[in-house]
Amino acid sequence: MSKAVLDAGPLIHLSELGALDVLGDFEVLYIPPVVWEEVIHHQPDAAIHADLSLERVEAPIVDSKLATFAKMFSLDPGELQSLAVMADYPDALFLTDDSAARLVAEEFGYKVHGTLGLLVRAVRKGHRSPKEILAVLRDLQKKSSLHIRSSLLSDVIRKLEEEWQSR
Amino acid sequence: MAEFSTTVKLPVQLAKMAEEYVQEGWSIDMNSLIVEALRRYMETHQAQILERFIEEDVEWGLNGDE
Repeated sequence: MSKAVLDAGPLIHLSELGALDVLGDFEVLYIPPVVWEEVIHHQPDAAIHADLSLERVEAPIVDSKLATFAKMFSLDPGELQSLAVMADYPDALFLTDDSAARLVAEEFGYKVHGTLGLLVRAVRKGHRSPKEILAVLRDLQKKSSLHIRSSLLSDVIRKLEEEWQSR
Repeated sequence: MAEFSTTVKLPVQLAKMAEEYVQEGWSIDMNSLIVEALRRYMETHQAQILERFIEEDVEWGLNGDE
């Protein structure tokens, strides 16, 4: 069981893929106001998923260092708020699919992962079978707005097939 | 330096903000501002950065210890 702070990307992408359940074992998923609005707008089903421990938090205070990074990396308001929430929960996992937000999170020393990692983790945690996750990954470009270069995704699928076959 | 010319449509609000930015003297002109914004985007979305993130996600997914 663990805690995480959500940016909108993973919620939206996992919802598109019918895989929100991979977030089901997190003790709490903190979600700031702008991210909540973004999810409600793009993927309302994700926001009302009954099995997720979503906890809406108030708009956090953004310190000057983060505000500067946000400008340098052109973070959107949701990314900025979720990173500001991370300041209150530095041991939490930061979940984002945005590379700029991820770079800033690294700069602050936060643990950060995205949709792809969550899908693979679901096998390790025993929530999904390798076969199910491989099927999700094969449909990823067709069903979701998560952008991964086709050849890279194929490499990932091949690596996972080998890895899971050998276990 | 060879240059390429194209036309882009900006959301009105974003264009207003960009114009204000130029008027305040933070950038020489709109063209320079857009070139700099695009360059920064390309810097943070380089293929090798995205690939590293994907590799880290797969490794964490397979072998993470949390």
